[in-house]
Amino acid sequence: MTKRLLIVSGCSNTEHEWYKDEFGIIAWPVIVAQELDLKLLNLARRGASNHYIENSIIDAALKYKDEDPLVMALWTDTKRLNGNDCYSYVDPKYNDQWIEFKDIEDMEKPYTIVKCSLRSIWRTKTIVENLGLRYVDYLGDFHIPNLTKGSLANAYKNIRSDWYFNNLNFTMREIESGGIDYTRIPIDGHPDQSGHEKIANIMIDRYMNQLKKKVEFTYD
Amino acid sequence: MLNHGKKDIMSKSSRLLITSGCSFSDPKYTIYKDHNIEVWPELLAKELNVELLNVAQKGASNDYISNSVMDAVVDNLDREIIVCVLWTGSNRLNFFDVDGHVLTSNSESININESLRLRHKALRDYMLTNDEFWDENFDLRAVNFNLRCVWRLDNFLKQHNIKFYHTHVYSPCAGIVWIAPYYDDDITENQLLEQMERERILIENTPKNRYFSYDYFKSQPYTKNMKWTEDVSMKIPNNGHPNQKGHESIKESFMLLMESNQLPYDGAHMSSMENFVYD
Repeated sequence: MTKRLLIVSGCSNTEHEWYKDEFGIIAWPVIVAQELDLKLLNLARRGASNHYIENSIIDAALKYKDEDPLVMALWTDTKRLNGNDCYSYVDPKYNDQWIEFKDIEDMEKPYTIVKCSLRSIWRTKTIVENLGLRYVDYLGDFHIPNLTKGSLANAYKNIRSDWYFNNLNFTMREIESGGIDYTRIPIDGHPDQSGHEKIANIMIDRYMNQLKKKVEFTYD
Repeated sequence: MLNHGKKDIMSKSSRLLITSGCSFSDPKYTIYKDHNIEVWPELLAKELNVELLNVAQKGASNDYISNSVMDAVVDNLDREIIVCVLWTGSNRLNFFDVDGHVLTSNSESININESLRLRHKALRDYMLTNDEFWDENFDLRAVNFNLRCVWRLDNFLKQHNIKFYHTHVYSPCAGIVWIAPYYDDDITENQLLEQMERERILIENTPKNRYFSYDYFKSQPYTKNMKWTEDVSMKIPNNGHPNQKGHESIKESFMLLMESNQLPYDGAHMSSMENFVYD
């Protein structure tokens, strides 16, 4: 019998091959796939932005939707921005052409940056769930960047009234710092083996809770 | 259930036209001011007698256009919204997406625009000097990137039962094979032939893309640009942007799209989505 597919995406915290080669660590997607007996499709890449994570998941979810895959995302640092989206556009044909097309006040930058990621997260969740697929995510190293003095208070205020935030199920605490307290490789900062096991357990617990809710709903 | 916020529904007039695009839609673009040109979103809003929210930006990519409309819509869900989008050229790519990597900085205190500029430059320089990056696969990924922008906005607006009319200034296949690393003035004959072959492959394969739909190309075939782009009488001399006549022509294209599709979406959006998502 063919195993069900597990689609995952993320940044270096999710890219298994790199962990295995560099540290001999088994990354969380491999642990989840083993625990749930799934076939793994890992789209994570070192340095990936939340925009990349969104796009890679949506591409794969549409491609494999008929196989009823389970989809998991571990979101990353909000500062990994797409120049085209927020701030500017670079024409690759002309080396010095850098067009600033959107003026953003310093005070607005942390919120604007976070909003880009919240939009990606909401869109990913909505599209995957609308395809009828199971979706589990975790904020990982997500955080509100403290770019300029006094801008954080403004960011909190704007995030609280942000449409994407209000249509996702994250707490402000999670948005603030990702909510991760896993152990990390000294100096390097990436999760160590124990950290990966913790992330894997969180993902599995969230998936199991979804299944439990579905059963409860069915019997109601 | 979607949270529509706490806005007072009765405090606003009901109909709102949201438009987006690149410089072809942005009234702040300097040359329009110099020539006293009224852009198509303003002409269309007058014709329809509705309030206008135009989020177009000069230099915008299709990614920006898709995101800007989405943000504008979620801020105005208590209104009766019509969305009109003029998609831009596919060569305005986000290399972060195509390549999947970003070069990040450990410091949060540096100026973010300067930081981004330097990181972009490093990435761009690497790509411009790496011939292997520019091949048929790059072309297909570039089209995928742009069609995904169109699809996700269309999908989102259908979910919210919002009328959506859109057209492309240029074919989504146009310009991609010519981005880099070769420049127009130093290209060899062999390179020219290779790139023409790449373009042929791209045109042939674009309808097979999972995000492609012929519904996105009602005003012209996916292989063609808008007519005004090839008509000098509709362009500002030595510039390429539409003059007043050009903007009237774009407005008319949207009016025709509206007249040909009077029926609002019926809410069966997910089943229709399934019909055109294929490999």
